[in-house]
Amino acid sequence: MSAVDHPRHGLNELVHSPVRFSIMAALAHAEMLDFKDIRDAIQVSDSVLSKQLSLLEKAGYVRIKKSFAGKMPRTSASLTPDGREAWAEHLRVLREIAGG
Amino acid sequence: MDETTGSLSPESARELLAKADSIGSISTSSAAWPAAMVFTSLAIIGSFLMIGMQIVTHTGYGAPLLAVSAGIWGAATASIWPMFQKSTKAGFTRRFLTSLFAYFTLYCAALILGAIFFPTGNLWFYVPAAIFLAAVGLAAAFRELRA
Repeated sequence: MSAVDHPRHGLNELVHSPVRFSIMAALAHAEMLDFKDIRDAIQVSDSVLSKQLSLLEKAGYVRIKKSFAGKMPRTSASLTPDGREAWAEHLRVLREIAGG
Repeated sequence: MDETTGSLSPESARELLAKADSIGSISTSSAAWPAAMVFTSLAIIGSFLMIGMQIVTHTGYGAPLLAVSAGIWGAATASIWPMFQKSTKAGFTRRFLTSLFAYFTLYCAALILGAIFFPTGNLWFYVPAAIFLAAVGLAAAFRELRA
């Protein structure tokens, strides 16, 4: 197998970053997740999560929804169909690499 | 290919897959509770009221017996719920037991007073008793949420 053919070339660089990988993993198991539930699950600060979510939103992988519960702002996020497809492909490549 | 993905070994890939599974489970671990509570409550209320219908329609001591049975059923199910909780806030056991004890003390008191003093019913007793019990139950719920 040449270097170009190695399955790692199929990994999605945007998704592979540790924090974004964790965000995608969390959202992949949910229909929608509250901002604080994502933050607690992946253990990052609000500002880091916010910045990384914005990057994923810009890439079209994540949909951000802002609403109000009374006067309190609430942010939730979900994977878009493109995001789910990218995540599934990323996992497929990882499994391929893991398989040796 | 960049530095981020350039040196991924099979072991690292396996670790990432395990991490993805783990994060997915953690992020949604508490998400099912509200829906589970709703449907379990519906299951309990529905099945209990069917039995209650039988008690009320076929025994001469219907209403008090129904209320006593509801209390026993409620106390039993309320005691079982915490066994399924894997994560609890600090001080949960003490708060839960005091709230549960307070609620069922008031429930028994209302039941006994109602059965003794108002055996044929009295709106001025039972409506405030219902409101008071609801308020105590909701206060216990908010106490736990705010803890």
